[in-house]
Amino acid sequence: MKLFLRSHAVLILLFLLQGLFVFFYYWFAGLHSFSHLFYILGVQLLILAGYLAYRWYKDRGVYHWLSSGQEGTDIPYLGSSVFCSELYEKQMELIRLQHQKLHETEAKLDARVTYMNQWVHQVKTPLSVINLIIQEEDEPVFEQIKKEVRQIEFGLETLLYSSRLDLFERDFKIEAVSLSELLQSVIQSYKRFFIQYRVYPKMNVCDDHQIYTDAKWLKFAIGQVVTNAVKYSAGKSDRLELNVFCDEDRTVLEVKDYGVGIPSQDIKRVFDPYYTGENGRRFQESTGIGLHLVKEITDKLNHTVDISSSPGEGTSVRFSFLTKM
Amino acid sequence: MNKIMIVEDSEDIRGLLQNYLEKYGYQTVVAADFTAVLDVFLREKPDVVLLDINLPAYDGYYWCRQIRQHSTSPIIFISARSGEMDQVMAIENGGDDYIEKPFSYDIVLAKIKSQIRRAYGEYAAKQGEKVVEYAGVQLFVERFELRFQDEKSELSKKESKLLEVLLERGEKVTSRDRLMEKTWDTDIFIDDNTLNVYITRLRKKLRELNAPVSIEAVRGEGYQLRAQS
Repeated sequence: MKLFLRSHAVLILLFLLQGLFVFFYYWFAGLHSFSHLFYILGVQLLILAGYLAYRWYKDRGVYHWLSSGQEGTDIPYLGSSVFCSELYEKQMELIRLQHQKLHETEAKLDARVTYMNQWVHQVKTPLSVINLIIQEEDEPVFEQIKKEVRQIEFGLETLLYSSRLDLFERDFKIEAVSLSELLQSVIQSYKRFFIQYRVYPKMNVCDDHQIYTDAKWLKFAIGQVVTNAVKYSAGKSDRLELNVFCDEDRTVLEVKDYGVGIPSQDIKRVFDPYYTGENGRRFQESTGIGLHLVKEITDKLNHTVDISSSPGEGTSVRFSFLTKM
Repeated sequence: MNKIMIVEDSEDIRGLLQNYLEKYGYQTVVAADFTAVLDVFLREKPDVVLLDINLPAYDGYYWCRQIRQHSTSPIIFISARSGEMDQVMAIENGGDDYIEKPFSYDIVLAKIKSQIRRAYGEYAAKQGEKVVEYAGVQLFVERFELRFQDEKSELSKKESKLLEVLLERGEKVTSRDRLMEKTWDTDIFIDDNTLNVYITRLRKKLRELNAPVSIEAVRGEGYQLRAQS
């Protein structure tokens, strides 16, 4: 209603001016009868009121819609007047176009993810062949090849997960998961990595705590942090701690290493995509995508992750989980 | 002798699996015509089927359903697909187990054994006590028992596992990494120093048995067995 009055303020003002003009015109023309003058003024105001009432009746849908908060993309029926139905049509058209664009983009994204998945699977077969061929061989050359193959496998996995992340909403399942079992399976799947770099994990778990999460995604995220920790500990320290602390309503997992640490100017940006920092330059093999994925995944899973480090002494990454739903 | 049928469109993987399984005493059959997998199955009557999902013509799920109409033999899927859905589909279409690529020989062998044990029972299980032998030295893997001629020696679980790997590989160099990996069990594992200790202990046990085998260190590479004449 306010909006309606405001948008017709000029009209009302105009009518009032006109009224005053007519009033004074007749007054100075010699018509000094108040009853006549007020009659003319009254008729004019009545006509104005009639017009406004008519407009309000016809267009009230639009004004209600405009002044209400926007919830969703639906447009209510606006009214039957020419103005209203035209506006309605136009809006619908616009929404249709937007939807179409959105669908096209989504379809493209889908196709991209499918392509990526297929591509990864295609590469996995020759990788399996290489693996099978060199599995029984232990000479240094083959150890080297094994190491490189492992690197490719890690890369593929990261690729797979980062492309799936865009469709996360369709690909996750929150359930009660035992954190210690999850950690054990992480350790199991990275054991070759630990051996290669001679860094040994140690688990300190308070009790067997259940957390609510998606096991697959969380495993991947922890795996990323663990591989980082191992990579930056190699040759400096052979310890990697996986500590679990339990609070009343939170469970905290700390992945603590005694490696090279992260320079203080880099620590704020380690979760940024493609940010590699000084360690990235010093150690190569860094894409700057791993920790970014970790952050994205933990956000989506409703966990938090933070990182602290002192250069030369080590790094600790802390995941925090709600223990209750 | 158990017969394994391999249905896999990558020729390399097929060949490697075939070699490996034959080395471990299995008979193998491969299906090379992917439009007639069922015919091969019915003709050869294998004990276990290894089945890829992505195949030309029909996919693995289809063949699994076809085979299931005639037989209940164990079917193990092997596929590069890593999604949960694919594994669920595999089991729901009648598969018994699922191996994800890239895989290791050990996994394939272990899963085949377990399927045979489950499907054909005692008969196969009895055959299955694993004995590893090198230069007359025998290791009874399941009992952690080392034998040479009439002498016996008990080993710990870790020692037995280490020696199993060493005996199997014999003169081939075995890297420290491999030994560590084979003995790794969740968060209980052998690091470099402990590995040295274990090797020393194994050498002592072999000496006590008067076994004509010695564990030689190969500098920078690992260990190898040498038979003394």
